[in-house]
Amino acid sequence: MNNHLDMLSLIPARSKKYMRTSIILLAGAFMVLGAVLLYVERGYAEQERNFTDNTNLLLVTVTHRESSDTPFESLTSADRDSIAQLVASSPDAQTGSTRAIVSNRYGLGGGVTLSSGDPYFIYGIDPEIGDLIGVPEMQAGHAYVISTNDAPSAGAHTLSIPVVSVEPDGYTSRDLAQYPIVLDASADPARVEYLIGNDASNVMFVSSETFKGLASSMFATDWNTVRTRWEAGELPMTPLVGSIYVYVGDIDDVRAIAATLEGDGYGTSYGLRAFDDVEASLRTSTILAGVTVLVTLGAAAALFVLSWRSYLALSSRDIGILKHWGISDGLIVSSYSKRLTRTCVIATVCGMAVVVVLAPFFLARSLAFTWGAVNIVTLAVVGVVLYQLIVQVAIKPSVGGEVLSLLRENREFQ
Amino acid sequence: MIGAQLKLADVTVQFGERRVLDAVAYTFESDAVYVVRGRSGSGKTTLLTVLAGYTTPDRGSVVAQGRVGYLMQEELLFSELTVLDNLRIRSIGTEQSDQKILDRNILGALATVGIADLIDAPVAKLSGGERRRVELAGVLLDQPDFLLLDEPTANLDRTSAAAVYSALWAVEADWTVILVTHEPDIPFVPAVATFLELADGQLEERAG
Repeated sequence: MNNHLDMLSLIPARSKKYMRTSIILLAGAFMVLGAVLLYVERGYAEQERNFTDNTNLLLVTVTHRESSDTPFESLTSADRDSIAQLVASSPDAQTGSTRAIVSNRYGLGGGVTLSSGDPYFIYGIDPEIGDLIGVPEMQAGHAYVISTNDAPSAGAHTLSIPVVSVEPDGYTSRDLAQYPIVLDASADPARVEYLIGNDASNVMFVSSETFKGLASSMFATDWNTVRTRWEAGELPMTPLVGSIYVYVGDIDDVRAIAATLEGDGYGTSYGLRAFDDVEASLRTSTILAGVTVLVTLGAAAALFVLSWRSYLALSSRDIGILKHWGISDGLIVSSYSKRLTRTCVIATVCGMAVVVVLAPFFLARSLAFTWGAVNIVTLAVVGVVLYQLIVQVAIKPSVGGEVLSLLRENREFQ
Repeated sequence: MIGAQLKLADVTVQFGERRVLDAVAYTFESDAVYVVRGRSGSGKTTLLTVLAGYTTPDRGSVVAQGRVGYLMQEELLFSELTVLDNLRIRSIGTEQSDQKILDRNILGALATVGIADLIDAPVAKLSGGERRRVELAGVLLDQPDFLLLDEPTANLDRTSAAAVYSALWAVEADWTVILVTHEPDIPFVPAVATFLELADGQLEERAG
């Protein structure tokens, strides 16, 4: 059988030039397909990252309370406990790593300056939500500013804080308190700007505990007194508890938690609201990617099938002669399939080579290996499917023709 | 094969309105030579394709007891390959699978038709008569009981045609030959040959 196939392979091999063209066409198509797969995957990965890696999209900001009597009511420190209880009892915030974190966002302005002389507005947040400013591990006694070229030098600094006394006609300040801090210019500008919705250049973040120390220095009293006076409305110009952040662990839970809070009378805002539907968007991306790949694949398959049908039409006389000589259809199909196998293997390997070379450029390192391997397997499967397609729709029908028709067809074709 | 027989039983073949074979009934016996004549377009080739099983009759049947070898009018060789490669490929269809025996048979068949020295020559380099004899050698490899020959010397000069017929009659003693031709004079035709005339769809014996 093998000897017969070796002998028979002389026949398809006569059309070397034609087959070379066919191999080049298919190899080109596979290389394009490999590149398209990577391109589409990169686009998908980017979009997914935009949603899932953007920590700000995991944030629900509680800005005020609402009731039928008072449409806007400032938050108090008691609201934090209330919100924490609401979130804790929400089934959407209870499972494993998706636990939501609740934090006050304290604010303190009023002429606080760094030793360099620059004025800063101070925000205090719980270290657990440091991710939101790009600082996963906030430390007590440290102050975080955005990392820019003209940021103050990192290290030990002193904050000058006006010591405020509240008079019936307003605040007065005669003294400055010095508060030592360690400056760290590692906050992410984009995240900070998104978080505060404003220019981040004169903003400083500290941990909640450090903030309480700063506020105590400003009002020359302990934190509990500051908080009590603020909640009693005695510090009207101070946005002490500006907002309460709920940092949700899973993007799928953001809407549900926001709805829970709104149902209890809290006004919320969250970035995810800007996107109509994350799932719909990702689904659309998936469909587009699928269509792109399928169109490329369909074009490659159609081109290859047509190319082989033309080749077999040109070869019909050869096939007719072989059949006239009494060689079985099965053996003739095998001899052409052998040539087809070679073509498919060469083309598939070319496509795989493109994937191997380009994957590190198109995909992040964490994805390049896995998705590259998936693409290689995909190309191998496509190669096998194309092989079977050609055997079934081109080779077998061509070889199955009548001897006289095959001998005449060739003349008509030519 | 002793008692080999090729029988046409009321065979009718029709192309559109035209009836090429009209209820033809004839039996070709073994170890004989038949020369079928007829005008161009009278259906001689159709008669052979029916006998070879390549054309199915519209009516009637063909009964073949024995192996049929068919040398078509047009040349059926791979001209890019050598004589040996052509015949090796051709012998794939035979029952013999031992390559040494096959090569010996190929050489023997080529010697029979007088071109053993051309075994390694590319077919493209051969003359028309030599190519025809290569085909004839190929048919002989099949060891048919009936040898169907369709205008074997068409397009050949007289010398080449004579060489082909010379080779043919050298082997005819072993097989039944059914030769279709429009030529009035066939060189070296055996005296025992039966002459047939195909006209108006009918096949009838005629005097040589």
